[in-house]
Amino acid sequence: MSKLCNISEANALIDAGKRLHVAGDEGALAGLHRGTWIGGTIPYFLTREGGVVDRNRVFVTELPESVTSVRTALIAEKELARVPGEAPENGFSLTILPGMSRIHASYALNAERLPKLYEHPIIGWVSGVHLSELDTTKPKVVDGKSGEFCSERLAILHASLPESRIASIGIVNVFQQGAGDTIVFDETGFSGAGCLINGTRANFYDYVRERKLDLQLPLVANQSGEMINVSFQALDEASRSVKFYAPVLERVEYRQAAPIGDYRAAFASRVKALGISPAFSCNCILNYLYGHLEGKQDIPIAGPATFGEIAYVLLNQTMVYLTIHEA
Amino acid sequence: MPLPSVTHSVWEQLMTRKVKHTFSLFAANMAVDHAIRAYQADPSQKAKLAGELRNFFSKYEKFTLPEIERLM
Repeated sequence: MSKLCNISEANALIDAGKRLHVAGDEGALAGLHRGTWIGGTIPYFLTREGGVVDRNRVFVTELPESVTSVRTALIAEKELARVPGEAPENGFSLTILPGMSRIHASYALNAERLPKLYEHPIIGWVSGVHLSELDTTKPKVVDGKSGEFCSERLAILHASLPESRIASIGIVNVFQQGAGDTIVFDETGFSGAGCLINGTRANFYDYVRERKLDLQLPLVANQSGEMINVSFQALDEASRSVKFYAPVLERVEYRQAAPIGDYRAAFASRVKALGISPAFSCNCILNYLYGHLEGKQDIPIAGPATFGEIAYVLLNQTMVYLTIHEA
Repeated sequence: MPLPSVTHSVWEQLMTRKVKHTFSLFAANMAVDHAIRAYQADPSQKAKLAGELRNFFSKYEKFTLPEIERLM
C-alpha cells in the first residue's frame, strides 16, 4: 500500500503497528504519532491521480507483510559504514538523506567505498523542501520511534525478509548517452571544471557556455550498461565551474544525454513497460518539473518526488524502485 | 552448476572488461563497474576485487547465475 493520507489516516496505520515509510512536509510529519516508521521532508508527490504539491497530507508506504522484522536508526556522517554494515543478511534498507547537508554530500562521495555496499539492497532518497523555501528551510529526516527530526544525520530502516523472499532494486532512466563529445573530469566531485573533452584539455564551464548546452539534459555515464545521470545544478561564473546535483566521477566517460522529445510521454512509456507494483518507489523532482508531471495521471507508479534518489549510490533524474521476489 | 570459484577467470575478465556484459540486475552492473574502476586505479587489488565480485554474485545467484554461466 502506498498513497497520500491525511494525518489521522496515517496515525491510524502507525497506531495499528504498521511498519511505514513516510514522506511529507515538516509540519505534516510533526503531527504523526511515534511508531515504527522513518520519514523525510518533501511536499511534492507523484500519485496515481497525478503529480501534486501537498503540505497537509503525507505519502505513506506500508512495508510488505513478508517483512519479518524492522530496525530504525539515525546515523551520523562518521558512521556511514553502518548503512551496509547493519543491513540484514536478507532484506533491504530504506534510507533518507537530509538534502543539502554534509551527510548528503559525504554519502554521495563515499558510498562506493563502503564495505559490501552492493551486497545488500539499499534504496532511498534525499529529502527536500518546497522550492520557494530553498534558502530558508532545511530538509530533514525523522525516526518515528523517537520522533526526532534531524538535518545532519540520515534516517534508515532495515527490513528483514524470510528465506522465501529476496529484494532487488531497479531504476527507470529515460536518458541515453547522446552522440556528442566525451567528457572525462579530472576529479570526483559535485562541481566540474578541469576535464578532457574528446581527449583535449578544456574547462567544462567554458564548454557549456560556448556550446549553450541544454541544462535540463544531464550528463550520462554508461556504467557497465547502466545509464547513470549527473544533473546540472548551476553555472558558477566566479569559479568557472559547473555545479551538479550528484558527483561526477574521475576516470568515467560522460556524454550529455540525447534529447528525448516529449519528456512526460517518454517517462510514462518506460514506467508502464515495467508492469510492476513495487514495494517502494520514489522519483526525481527534476523529472516532476522538467516532465511537467503536476496534475498529470499517466505515471502508474507513485511516490515522493525527491531531491535525489538512492539506489546504493546517489542518482539524479531517475526513478528508483524496490521489488520483492520469491527466492 | 555452482557459481565459479574466486580463482576462476570470469571475475578477472569482468573487471578487466575482456568480457563485457550487461546483467539484468542493476546492482550487478554497478558492482562490476565499481570493480572495473577499482582495478584500473590499482591493478594489484585484483584478487581482492575478484573475491568481492564473487561474494556479490553468490548473494544474487537466483538472478545472475544463468548469465554468469553464459560468460564462462
